Amino acid sequence: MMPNSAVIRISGLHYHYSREENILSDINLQVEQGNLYGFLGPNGSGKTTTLSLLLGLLKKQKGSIEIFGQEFQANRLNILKRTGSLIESPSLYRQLTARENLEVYRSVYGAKKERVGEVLKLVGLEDTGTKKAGNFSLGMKQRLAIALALLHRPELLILDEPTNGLDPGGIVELRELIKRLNKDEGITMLISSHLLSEVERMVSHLGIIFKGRMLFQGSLEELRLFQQKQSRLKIHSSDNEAAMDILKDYHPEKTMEGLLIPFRDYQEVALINSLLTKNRLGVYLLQPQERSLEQLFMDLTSTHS
Amino acid sequence: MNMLTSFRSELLKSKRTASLYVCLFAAAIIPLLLVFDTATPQAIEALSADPWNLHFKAGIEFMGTLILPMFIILICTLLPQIEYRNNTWKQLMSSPQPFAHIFFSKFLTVHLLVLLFFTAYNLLMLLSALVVNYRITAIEFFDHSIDWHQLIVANFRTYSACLAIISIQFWAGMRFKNAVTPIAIGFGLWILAAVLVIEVKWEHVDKFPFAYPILMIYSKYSAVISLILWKSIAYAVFFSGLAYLDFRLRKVKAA
Repeated sequence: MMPNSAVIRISGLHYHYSREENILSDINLQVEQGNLYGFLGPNGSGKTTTLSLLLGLLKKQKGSIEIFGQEFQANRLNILKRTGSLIESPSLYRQLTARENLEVYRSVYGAKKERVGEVLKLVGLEDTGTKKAGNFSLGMKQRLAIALALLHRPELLILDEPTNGLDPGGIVELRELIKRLNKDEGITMLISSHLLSEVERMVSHLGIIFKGRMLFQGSLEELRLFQQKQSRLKIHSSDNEAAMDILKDYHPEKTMEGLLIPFRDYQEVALINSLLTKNRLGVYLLQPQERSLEQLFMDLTSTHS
Repeated sequence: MNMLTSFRSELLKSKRTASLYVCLFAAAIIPLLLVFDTATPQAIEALSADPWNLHFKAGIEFMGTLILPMFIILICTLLPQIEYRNNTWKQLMSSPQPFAHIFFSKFLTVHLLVLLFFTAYNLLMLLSALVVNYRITAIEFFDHSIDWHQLIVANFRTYSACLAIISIQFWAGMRFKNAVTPIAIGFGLWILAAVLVIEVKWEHVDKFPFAYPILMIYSKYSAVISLILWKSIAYAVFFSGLAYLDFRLRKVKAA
């Protein structure tokens, strides 16, 4: 496969369950080879619907879905042979052991018998013996579900809310496993979550969906740049009207307490301070208001609600 | 990807489920009851004339009209419930298998369990005859022979008469997440069939698939048994096709 080729390309995707309710509107999403892509959005924003369409669990109504450069509907089996997935909660047969659960799908995926032991070792479940999956902890179930998704050495892994319900230890463990699989095995990953803090520590690229629309798509760096652009400096001086005039090139915004100015970095804050003092204004308050990625996510999703 | 791979996967996942136990338990009911049914002098006298064939005839009449329909209703519900209870439908549907393979491998598993039921039932009937022979010396089973042809035909007819019920119940089992619904539908239609045949004596009862196993034992219908069996097969093909279409067109619910 060519480097930097799009593994997933969704264009103009729309979906509705009923005519009155649009679940997805004009979704455009692209995941490049080797990306660890975080698909972020609050609950009910359309993440699972998008992933279900990607895996053919729902039939596409409008738009196009290409995976590995192939149209999905026409190449469903070829695409699924190269894709591993975990949709919502772990899908396991409770009455079967870890090994038996993998055996159910081994032939379906055309994997060799020894691969079962390999993936169990990879997720740290090689010693579960005759213990039934129904008696596993949620973390173990999640890891077994990932082992199942890895059985056929997929090139693409789609994980829907993989850390849901896990304790902090389980989350860290799973995060490390995901990073390792992406780095060591070169698997392209699409991971959905409703928590930015959870995915920002592992993903390289992000897509933010809200109420069925994509609000942002790009690298984590681009999101940080976007975050900087959203930072404001709160100013209160001895003459706010005069300060507005002096700082007019910064496009200030008048508020009840003074003014708000977008800023890039602390050098710019120092420059603004010196401009005000040079013009003999008393600076009472100079407060940078930086937005964390989490706040930015909240802002992005709340301003569109 | 061949159908056999999907079928093997289906068999593996039914390991340690109630299906196999239900199959063996259901197959054992009539043979067990017939061991104790030979307690009266009248029963002994009646059976003495042709013990093997009368023993099998009595068994298949009870089995075909009472036990087999109940077993089918249960098994057609239990098998799809493996996916519903474990929340595995999405995983299954996103695996690289043609949808037809997924559907028909489950359908084949139901038929395999029904055939397993028939095998277990017949073996247990043999065993129950041996027990009767040992318990009641007046009945000399070994002085008589088994009419194998008659036995095979009776089994084949009973199985064929239930084909339509299997297809209808399999559709209901695949369609409803709640296990109570397909069981209620099945038992409702089965009771309705009994009422239509025994109480109402409805003239068009030969058009009602759930009545077919009961009609097999009515001498009134002995002349048209072949026609009824063909109807059962036709209904089975029709409802299997309908069930597959429904399966293909249904949306897998996504939050």
